[in-house]
Amino acid sequence: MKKSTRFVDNSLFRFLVVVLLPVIILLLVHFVAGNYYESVFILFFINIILAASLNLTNGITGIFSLGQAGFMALGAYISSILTLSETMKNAMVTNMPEWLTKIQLPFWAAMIVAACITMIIAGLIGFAILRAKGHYLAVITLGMVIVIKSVLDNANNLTNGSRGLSGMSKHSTLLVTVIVALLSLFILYRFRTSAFGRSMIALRDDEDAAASLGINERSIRLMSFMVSAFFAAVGGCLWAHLQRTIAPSLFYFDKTFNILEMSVLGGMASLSGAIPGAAVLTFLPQFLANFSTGFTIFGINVPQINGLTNIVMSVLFIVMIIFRKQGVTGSSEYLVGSLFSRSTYTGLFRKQTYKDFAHAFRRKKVHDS
Amino acid sequence: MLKVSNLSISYKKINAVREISFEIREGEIVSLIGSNGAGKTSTMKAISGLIKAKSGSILFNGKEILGMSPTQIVSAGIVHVPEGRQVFSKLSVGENLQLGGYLTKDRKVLKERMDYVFDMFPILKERIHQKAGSLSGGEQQMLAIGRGLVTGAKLLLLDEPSLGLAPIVVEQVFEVIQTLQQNGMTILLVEQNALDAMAISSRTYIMESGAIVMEGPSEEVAENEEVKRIYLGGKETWVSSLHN
Amino acid sequence: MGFFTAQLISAIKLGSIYALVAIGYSIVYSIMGMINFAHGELLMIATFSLWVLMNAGIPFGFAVILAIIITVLFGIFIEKIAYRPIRNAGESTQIITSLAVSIFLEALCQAIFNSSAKALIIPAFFSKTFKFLGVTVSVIDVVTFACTVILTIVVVLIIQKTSVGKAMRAVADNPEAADLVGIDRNRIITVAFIIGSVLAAVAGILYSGKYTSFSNDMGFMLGVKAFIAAVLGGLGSLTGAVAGGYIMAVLEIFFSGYLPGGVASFQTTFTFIVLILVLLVRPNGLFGSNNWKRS
Repeated sequence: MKKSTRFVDNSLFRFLVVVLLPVIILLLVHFVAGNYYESVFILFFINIILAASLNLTNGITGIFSLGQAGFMALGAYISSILTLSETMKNAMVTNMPEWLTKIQLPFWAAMIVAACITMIIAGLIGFAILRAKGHYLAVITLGMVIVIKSVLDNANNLTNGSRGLSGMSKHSTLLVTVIVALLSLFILYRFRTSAFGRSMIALRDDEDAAASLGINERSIRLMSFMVSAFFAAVGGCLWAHLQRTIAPSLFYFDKTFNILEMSVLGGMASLSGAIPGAAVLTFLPQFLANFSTGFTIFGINVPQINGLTNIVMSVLFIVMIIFRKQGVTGSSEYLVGSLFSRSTYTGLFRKQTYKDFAHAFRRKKVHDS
Repeated sequence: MLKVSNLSISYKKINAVREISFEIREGEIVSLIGSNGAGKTSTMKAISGLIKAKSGSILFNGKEILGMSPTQIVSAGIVHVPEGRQVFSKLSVGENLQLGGYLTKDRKVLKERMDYVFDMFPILKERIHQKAGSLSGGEQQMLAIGRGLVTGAKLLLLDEPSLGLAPIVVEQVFEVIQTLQQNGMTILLVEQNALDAMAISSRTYIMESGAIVMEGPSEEVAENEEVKRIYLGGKETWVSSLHN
Repeated sequence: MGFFTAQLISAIKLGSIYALVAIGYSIVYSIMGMINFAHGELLMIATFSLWVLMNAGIPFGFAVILAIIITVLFGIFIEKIAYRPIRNAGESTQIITSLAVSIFLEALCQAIFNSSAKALIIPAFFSKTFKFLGVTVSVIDVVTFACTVILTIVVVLIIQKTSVGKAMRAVADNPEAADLVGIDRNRIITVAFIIGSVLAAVAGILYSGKYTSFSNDMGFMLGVKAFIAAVLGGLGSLTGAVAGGYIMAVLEIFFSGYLPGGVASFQTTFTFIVLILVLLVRPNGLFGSNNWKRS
């Protein structure tokens, strides 16, 4: 065991920042802040799942996909069809196959079924398109988003076409979303740190060297693509059961870029990057919405700006690429790693942890004064 | 003609070339030899402006060329014939040569240079309409040198011209290099084929791990025991006898 | 027969637009090795410029020329500001940057002109119709086709015959060797962007002129389709780009025209499935060489 000396690696510090602080915030949000803020936080956790799923392919395996919105759509639609009641489906969708209207699953089962079906579809698509690399793959996956939207738009007897589906129950509560997000991050993190995950990174860094180590490029890429699609679908399922109404146009280029921006801003090369990325892309637009009808700054009246959020986000995006290409976290897994490493918790039972903490804290004070 | 002083090059904090200095006088062939990764190609690329040097100076006819773009360096009169030939394989032989004259606006001059190249390499004239990629290795090397000549360069940087060629073709290439010198060209020759390189050059520099470890007239360098052991495989050389 | 001819003529109209845009992608890709996702936005810039100029009372012909010039300036500017610094950065950085530029331009356009659809009113002459092989064709359709043919020929001549064109092919073939014969790569890339921008501007104007309505998101989808057309034909091949553009349009139009009622609306799906199948059989496209795995 390597003995760490950095203050940020202190178990107590990690526990306070990565576990206790978020828990307190969430409790406050749930009990004090009210429904609006709770919804924003639910969205934040869904975004974490989406961004982390994209980081797996784009940053960690090095297959640059722009298809996340498509998989998210599949997850959202399949799970919604599965949770909606027979009456609701019959009222909304004309000519839906009878066996399908009869199926109604509990939320959790629907989520898992939807994610698995999406993963299988991703496997089939991936098998066909993953020979492509780089720019080609980026555009082909974007084409995939177009195709998925076109299918959803036109498969009227399954999806109700461009009108979409609505009336899903609000299963995505704060608690449910937090649990799913933690589970997703945990599984993705284990996946990343497994031998398989190390092969993905090896593949990203040097294809030829990886091949010489006997790493089967195609199966690794396909596996990563499928796992990524699985979690995108989980995110889509949660999203559908938060918004309670979905339509094909919601899973198009805007969504694609939205997820990509989270991924890039936060840091593509780590799962942890999903957290700051999702935070910026969830909270900033909510904040900017206050200014969308014009505002006054330093006595200057700024008129209404159409698409203020889009402008701010794209400028932020470009600035980030110029000054910190690797995103907020780079390839550091500090956040997710601390959350799931046993030492964060076992360390709390050791006296030394508190001594180190107090010591570092005191020293810091001396420095400050 | 070319004076390199204290040239250092680094890639990602690794020093590929450290403070090397050497000189090429007008009309001579100078060979730069050394093992793989010694920094020979980096040195050439720094001279031709393909990569940026960290520090040092490169004077060409008294003018600082370090920091100039490849375009400016070609118009100054230095041409680099890269390792592995690097012809424009999808373009015809004729187009390859014309591109050598990309910066030459005077059509008459261009024509003269093309004729000079065709005189020297009649095979290229025969294949003028063929795609460069369809030529044999030796022919591609001739084309790469020919393309360099069309730029009107005064100094030719030849990077491993014998690499991957059949022995008989290697001989031809070295003959061409000597002919070029007799016609007044100054040449810096980077070679792993140390024996042949020293046989035709007047002076030799030996590079190892980014530094020049030995220099001198080729026949003297070739007689050095260390050099014999490492680069000439311990064989008795005939280089010195050739120079006598 | 009449229906078939009508379908074919629609496909030619649409294919001409795709072809013009696809050539731009192809040229820029061969020379820089990157896909300019913001290429589609050039169509938007051309259309909005023309609309603003015409609203300002500038005569149509003159406004068209100015709009093309503005688009070209944008093209050059985008390359200099955004793409030059990342030329040697990794592929994902290039993709992200060009997407960011695309999103930014669209958002900027939305901020200035808002996102509602606008009408482009071109001189009545262009909407005059006549019968051709029993099908009603308008002047702008003929102009669209003619522009594509003429511009394609001009581009081919530039690339095959001129010294700049040879240098462009040289850079596409072997960038480092191009440096070594003194070709100024920055200049060649600028030329590639100028050609691409002119074609995109013309395509944008023809497209909005034909459909009369346009908005700030007109370019992206068209861009993606044209890009896929270029890939289908084989990136780096002009013939491929043109052929890919027309094949794409024929697939789209004929699927929507000939598929039975229930599935006709799946035209986009079918088109893309066919394209992916073609690429599985011929990964380098129909006319392409070995660009598929280029990194």
